[in-house]
This record gives sequence, structure tokens and C-alpha cells, in this order.
Amino acid sequence: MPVEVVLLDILEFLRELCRTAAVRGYEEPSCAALGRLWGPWLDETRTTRLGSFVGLARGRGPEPRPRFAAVAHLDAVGFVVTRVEDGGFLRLAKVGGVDRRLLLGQEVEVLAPGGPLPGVIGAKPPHLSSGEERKRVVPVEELYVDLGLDPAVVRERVPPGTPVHYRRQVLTLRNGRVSGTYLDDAAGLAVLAVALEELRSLGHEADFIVIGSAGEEAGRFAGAVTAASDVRPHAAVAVDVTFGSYPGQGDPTGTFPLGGGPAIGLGPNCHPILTRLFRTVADEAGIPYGLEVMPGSSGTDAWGVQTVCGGIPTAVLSIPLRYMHTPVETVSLDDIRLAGHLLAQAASRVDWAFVEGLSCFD
Amino acid sequence: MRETLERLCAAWGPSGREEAVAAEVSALLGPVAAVRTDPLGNVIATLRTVAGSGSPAGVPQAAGQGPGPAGPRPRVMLCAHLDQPSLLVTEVTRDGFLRFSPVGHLDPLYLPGQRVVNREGTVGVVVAEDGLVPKDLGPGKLAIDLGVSGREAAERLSAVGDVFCPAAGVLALGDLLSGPALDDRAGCAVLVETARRLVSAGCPNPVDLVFSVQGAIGPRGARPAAHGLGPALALVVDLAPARGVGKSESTVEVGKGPALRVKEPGYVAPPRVRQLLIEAARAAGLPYQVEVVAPEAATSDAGGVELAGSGVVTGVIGLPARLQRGLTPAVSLADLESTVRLLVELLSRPLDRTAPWVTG
Amino acid sequence: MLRLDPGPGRPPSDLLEELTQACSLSGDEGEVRAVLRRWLGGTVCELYTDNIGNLICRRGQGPVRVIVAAHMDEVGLVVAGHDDSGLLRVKESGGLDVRVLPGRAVLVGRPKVPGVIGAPAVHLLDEDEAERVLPSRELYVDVGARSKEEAAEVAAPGDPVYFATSFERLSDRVVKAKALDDRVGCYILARLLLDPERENLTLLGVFTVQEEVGLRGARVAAQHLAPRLALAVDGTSAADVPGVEPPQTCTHLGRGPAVSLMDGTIVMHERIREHLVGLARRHGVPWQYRRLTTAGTDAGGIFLERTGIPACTVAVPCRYIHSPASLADLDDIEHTLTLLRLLLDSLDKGEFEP
Repeated sequence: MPVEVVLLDILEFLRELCRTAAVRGYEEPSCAALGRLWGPWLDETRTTRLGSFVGLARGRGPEPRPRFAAVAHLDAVGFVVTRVEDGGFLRLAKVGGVDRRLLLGQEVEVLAPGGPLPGVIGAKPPHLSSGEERKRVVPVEELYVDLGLDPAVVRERVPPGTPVHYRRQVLTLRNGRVSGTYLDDAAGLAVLAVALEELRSLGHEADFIVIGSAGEEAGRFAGAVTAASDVRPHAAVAVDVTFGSYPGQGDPTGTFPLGGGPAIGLGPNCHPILTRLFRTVADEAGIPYGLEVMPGSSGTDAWGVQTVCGGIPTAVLSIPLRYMHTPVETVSLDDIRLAGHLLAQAASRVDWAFVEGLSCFD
Repeated sequence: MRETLERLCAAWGPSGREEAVAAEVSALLGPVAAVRTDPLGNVIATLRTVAGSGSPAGVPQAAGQGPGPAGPRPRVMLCAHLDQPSLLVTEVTRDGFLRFSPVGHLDPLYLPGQRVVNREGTVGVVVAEDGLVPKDLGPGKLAIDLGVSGREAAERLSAVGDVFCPAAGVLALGDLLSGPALDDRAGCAVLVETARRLVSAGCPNPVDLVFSVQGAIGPRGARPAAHGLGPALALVVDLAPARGVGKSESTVEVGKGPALRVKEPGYVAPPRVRQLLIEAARAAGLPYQVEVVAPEAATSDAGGVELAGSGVVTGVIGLPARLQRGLTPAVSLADLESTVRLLVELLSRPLDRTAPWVTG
Repeated sequence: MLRLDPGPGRPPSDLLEELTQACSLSGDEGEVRAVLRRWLGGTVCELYTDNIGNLICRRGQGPVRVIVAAHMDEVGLVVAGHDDSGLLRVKESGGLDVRVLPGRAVLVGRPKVPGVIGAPAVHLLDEDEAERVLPSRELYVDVGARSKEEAAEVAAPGDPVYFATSFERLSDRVVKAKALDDRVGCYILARLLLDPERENLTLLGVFTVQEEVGLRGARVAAQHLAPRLALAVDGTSAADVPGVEPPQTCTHLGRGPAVSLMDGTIVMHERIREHLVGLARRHGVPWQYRRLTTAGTDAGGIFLERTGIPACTVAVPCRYIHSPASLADLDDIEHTLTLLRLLLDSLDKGEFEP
């Protein structure tokens, strides 16, 4: 397949998912988008009770077939409105790990029931702040959203609990890099799309199940955990994002260069045999990758999925991403393509023999 | 309902030792539900309604199966926790004082001077160390004074492993009722009253009530209970900290109706559940308010319940409470009454079988 | 002396020593599994591993299913990468006490390559720097490599780094070793499994994985084994040392098994706890309560699974838990074993319903 066509597909996919991404509880538009975008490669689709999207690409083997799942999350970090102040300003509370350092002056979108409203995050102007105040990061409680509307109108249109997000944008940078709001985890969802497309032509014995999980950023991985309890896969891989290398970022062993391929996780959350499959496949196919050592929680849906249904072998695949949880998250499209290719190749090798071997430790 | 509330508040029930409260709840529900206790001590009651009566309460559902054996309607679970915050004795000192660890959220600021009582009825008072200054205040600097001298005398009344709860009782405070066990006996009372009214008016939906253990510490006993029942929808009733004096993070006020929660640590309410509750409130002409962010100390069972099986769509209804940081939360009977009416309004009509939160 | 007779044809060895010398971090428990397989496999029970790596040994076929759990993982460090100078960068695995790291001898990877964790020379630091506790990201393991390439030959990212502590008898009763938490539990469980079968019990001995990072193996085991009740045997802190008053002492070395009241994950099942104390008193077994209410054990992972499983923890006091050299009392270990045997016997006789 010509590289250019794959790149363009991925970019459009990212634009669409960045546009619909929202905080936990508001994943429906993203589910609908996945239905359209993943749909051509899926035999069955549905939404779970907690709002996760589940799609099945049926395997070629005879029934019963082993089930291999790939999970990426639908939801994003953001805010909810706590109250409307005098003057029509909105106070906010965080949903998920928002980066407080760069909220001041950001453009946002308030997802009011009657339709989205644009606004700006403001605080006390600099010339009214003391020298001390100007040096510290403003806590979320002291920020507010200015909609530029009449207070009565705001009170009517924005009830408490209304979600607020960064104003969404997707920019193409040089060298196949893309910067967009909520690439965490649209990038992961795109990897699944690439894999689905390749598996169609590659063929696979096991059922390949893709899950767009709800609520990864704000809870106990409830969406993925309950979807897994429903689907009962024999193995699962979480596809999320990890820290892209950046000067002054600190520990170089925990960051990965953009364009260097995906990072394969190592640690208690990464089943040794399943992880070895990914490494072997990558080595054979010449796919570059990094190794991400996570001695504790991987911070991804895999951490929740591993301990349900009597234990599900899990692995973690991550796309290097710069500026995590900011409006300008940046990834390399090459990494998405490579990760999707790796995932497809690994999925095509999952059969009953492989699954049975997963409980043979030592 | 006041009588039910006072009766429940009179029972002694810290986390892990909820039997006395469980017994009261079981007795109150006997006429209207099939009641059992599970291995952890959760009380599980299936309402004897037209829809619920066919199902043998006590048959655990297979995880992930929504509509129960009672019929095609989705099962609903209402939940409140039995236990109250307490003090666990960890040392009897040479002089006869009791050192303790708080169990559940008890602000040390409010402990000194508090009268406490153990299961046998032994009374003590919480004291601060002599010479303690406010900035050093913490549970490690406090003790329980039993009014005796010497370890031997104290060990006749208590021991390491013993538990004390703030002295029981409900006080009328202006328009409010105040008492240490209101978190979450108020929720339990709401559930009991709701059960009575649903059964007498007729309820087309199969409804289970779960009175959970160890809920004062965080989401605990409610999850395995939900796992056994397999509900499609769950509503947790717990306290919501209301605005007090001075600058408050809370936007909730007593007397303004049940507080529909948006978010607490580890859980976000599905908007569709909040919408369901708002519509029911409006249909019945009931007051309600929105609690956007609940603090850590107000964490409910919801984050555990929603993980049960293939997922349970879970909402939290907060009963506005002043003085919650203090050991004697104060609630408004009117808010409790509105909450009961809200639940009855919601559940006395058949719930839509095709709603997305049912079918998944 | 704690020796087991491993059976005909096998050299005698001390199981507790072997267990503590084995090296197993969370998610990488193979060495302890291997030791246990050698001692238990073939002679006593059906041994198998599940999807997360728990080692399960079933003994007996009676109607009452009981899990007794002990965790195989220990705290330590993991190689995160290589510095240009040839030093290894590390990350913590489990809740380590970082204050004890500088100045340690360690063993790197499966081949157990010797290394040291040094620290910047104190002579070159100014006063506040010399007072600062170094976080693990500022510590390096030195194996003597002179370049990044050479370091990469010695250890790969993800490789474990263990404390190079040897097992030693300090006195008649006290032993020093690494990982007494929870090799003492594994030792006790192994001996329980070597007991004759009890007619009415199915004893499910579960050597769990990943306890130190969230009680994870125990959760999984409870899900697929469906026990009626569960006991966790763990190591717990003993701080009966100068400058510490009860209840901060938590437990005392030499005063017997510590029955847990509650911890950060569970209020122990009251009836099991009371029954344990009653058995100890009736049979003259020394015992104490664990006085702290923080931390967690596998019981906390198990009790909320399925439709709820009554659970309790019995712990062996260990001084300097989660640091490279910890101490335990052999009599405490033996009494803990006795107490658990009494509990299983009384369950077998139908004297106790959870």
C-alpha cells in the first residue's frame, strides 16, 4: 500500500477523533465516529453500558475462536463547570490530569446542552498580581472561563456539571508530525484503525476485537474493565501514549523519540509471553521500537484489564507523544503507522496454541 | 421517616462490625422485602413487588447478565452504607488511656471532647495530649479517657482491637436533625422509606436494596453485592457536604433538595443518569440541585458498584449535610422526603427496556 | 532448626534460606516459583500457574474451599536504562525505602552480576545537599562498566536489581535475610501444604504474584478459585526499637503471630479474627495484634471478589521490612504455622463457620 495513502487516512482519522473527543460521560460522539471510521473493517459493533465502543473483526478459524482484544481510550482530560459567578464567569474543576501550567489564556469550548460556546480562560490580570503571584502557577480554583456573554444568558445556558474542553485543533507540522488537541488517545485509536485495515488483507485466525474505552482518564479504568468482563478476551493489548523525548524532560530512559517507533512495555502489567510476541514480530518485520520499563502501574487500561475475568494476559504498546495533556499534543504519523503494522502482525499470529501457552510461566 | 431514622441512628455499627445496624434494617424491611445477608455482612433486600416477587432473592446472578429472572425489566439497585466512622483502639497505655486509629473520615479537629462508646456501652471521652498545640494536632496525639487510672483498670473495660463510635443519638437542631451516624443512616432511612412506598403503591420494576459494609472507608462491600445481583442501573444514596460558614468549595445547600452528583474521586456520573433523575424530579415537582465535585471524604460506593460484572450504570444522590466535617452531620428531613419521592417517582413507572444504559 | 526432609534422594537444605536467597520482583516471580516447585511438586500436590503467574497448589478435595495466600514478590529496583558513563539507571519496584539504597551491594539480572549503589562523595557536597535523601532517579548502579555499550551487555532495560543480602542466623532464634516479607509466608504455606490432607477441606495454597504493586495476583486467584474464605500469611512491620512507642511499634519480634485488625484495604472479618485469637488462647500459642491500620495484604485483594469472601491476615513480625536486611524470629514463624494449622483443623471439624 503506498505510504502516502496510509498517511492521509490516518490524518483524517485523527482530525475526526480529535473533534469528538470529550471528558468521561460524553463519549457518544466519539463512539459514533468510530462506528463510521472503523466500521468498514468490522463484522459487528455495539456500545457497552458504560459507553465503550466494541467492534469485532471475525477470525477465519473454526469456532470456537480465541479472542484477542486491543484497547484505546475514547475520553480525554478536561473540566466541568462548578458554578456561574457574578458577571457570568464560569468556575471549573478538573476531570483527569490536566496540565495546570498552561491554562491561563487558553481558548476553550463549553459543551452547553444547547450547543458549544467558545470562551477564554482568564485570571487576575498580571499588572494587578504581586511579583510573587506572577511566579506561581495559578490553581484551577482561581481561574475562570469568560464567555463574553450576558450573565443571565450564561446562567440559562450553562448548568453546573457542563463539560469544558480545550478548543480543538489539528495542525500538520514538518516531517509527518501532527499536533492536535486530544491526540491522547486519538493516536491509539488510529493505531487500531491501521491494524484493522492490514488484518483484512493479512488474515487472522483469532477474533480481533477493538475497544474504544470510556472513562480511562477519570476513574478506575471502568470502561475498559467492564468491556473486558463482557468480551472476555484471551489476551489484550492497551494502545496508549507515552512521553516523547524533549529537552529538560528529565529521565531519558522514560522518554522516546518521535519517529523511533512505538514503545513496548515491560513490567508486571506486561505478560512476558505476550510481550515477547510483540518484540519477536517487531524484530522480524524490521519495525523499530523502544522498551518502556514500568515497574508498577502502566497507567493504561491494561492495568485494569489484567485483573478481571480470572486474569487476562495484557501487553502495552505506546505512541511517543510530546506535550501530554496540553492542547498541542504532538506525535509522528510514522509511529502510528508502525505501531498499527506491529499490532496487525502480532494479532495474526494469535491462535489456540499461543493462547494455551499464556498460562505456562517458566 | 423520622422514627426510622432515629431507630437506625441508635444502632451501633462501625466499619466491619455492622451487625446491629444490619439487624435493624432487616427488621424494618421484613414486611416489604425478601431479606438476606451475604458473606461479608451486606444486607440485600429484594422488594416484594409485582415484578420482584417472582425472583428468589439470594440467587446470585451470573455476572454481566442485565435483566434478571424476574422478567424482562431491568433490575435496579439502590445502595446506602450501614457503617459509621469510628475509632479503633491500638494501645492501652500504662496510665489507662486508649490510643486509637480513626476508621473512616474523622477530622481530628473535631475529636477532642467527643463522647464515644463501644459495643458494650462503655463510655469514654476523646482527649488531646497535655500541652498539645493546634498545629501538631493529629490522631496520634489524641486518646480516649475512660475515667479510670492504670492499665489494669482500663483493660477491664476495653482492649486493643476494641472499637468506639461517637455516642449515638439524633438532636433536633433548628430545621435540621443532627447526629454522628447520619452518614449514612440517613441514606439507609431513605431506602427503607422508599421501599415501603414502592411496595404499597406497586412497582413494576425489580428493585434490590443493598445496605453495604465498610462504605464509610470507601467503595467496598457494595461491589460484590452488585456483582451478585447484576443490576442494569444503580443509585447510591450518601451524604453531600453542604456549604457552611466562610469560603466553601461546596455549592450544595441544605433544604434545597437532593444533590445529584457529577464527580467524586475515581468516578464520574454518566450524564444520562443525571438526566433521568432531573426528569423525574421535574415530573414530580421536586426540588433538586447539582453537586459538581464531591471531596475525598465524601467518596461513595459508586466507583465500586459501576465496575461490577459488565458494568452498572450508576448515579449518586447526595443528601445535603451541614457539619459533616464535624462528627455530627446535620440533614434536613425535607431533603430526605424529597429524595424518597424522587426515587418513588422514578421507579414507580416501568423503566424503558430499550434505554442504552440497559442494553449496553 | 527449620529443616524439612524433602524426601529420598534429595540433598537436605533449608527452605526458608533458599526462599529468601531467590530473587523475585513483582511481575517476575520465576525464581521463587522454581524453588517452590522443587519442594512441592511431584510429592504432594497438583501445581499449576494461572494467567497472571500465581502458583497454585491444591491439597484435598473436601467441600470447604479455603485459600491460604502468601506472596512471592519482593521489593527492589529495575534497570531503566544505561548512562553514557556506563552506570545503570534504575526505577523502584514496589514500596521501597529509598533511604537505604545508597551504599548498597546489589545483584543485577538473572546472572546476578555484582554491582553497587554509590552516591556523590559527601566531601564534595555542601551542608543542605548532604542532608537530602536521594530519590531513585538520582541513584545509579555501578557494575564497573566503562561505556554505555558495555553496560548494555551486562543488563537490559527491565532487568531486576536485588539486594545482595545473605541469609544469616544472628542467634538461636533470629534470622537476617532480604525479602522476609513475604518469604516467611511462602515458607509457612509450603509447610502447611506438606501436612496430610484434611477430609473436609480443599486447601488452595496460592503463592501470589504482584502483591507489592497492588494485591493483584490475589484478586485474580480469588476470581477463578471461588473459596469460601481466605487467609493471607504475610510479613508485617515490627518497630519495637528505640524511640518508638506503641502503637507505632506495630508488632514485637518474639511475641508470636500478629493477627491483623484492619489495614488500608480491608477491615478484617471479625469472626475469623476472633476465632484465631480464641484458638491461640486455648492452645497456649503466643499471639499479638498488629497495631497499625495502614498498608495492605492479599486479604484486601481477595475479599471484594465474586460475591464477597470473608478474609483475614495473620502476619509474622519483621524488623526493617522493605529494606535490604530484615530480621525475623524463628519461633514467631513456627507459632504462626501452628496457629494456621489450628484454624484449618477447626474448619475441618466443622467447629467454625465464617
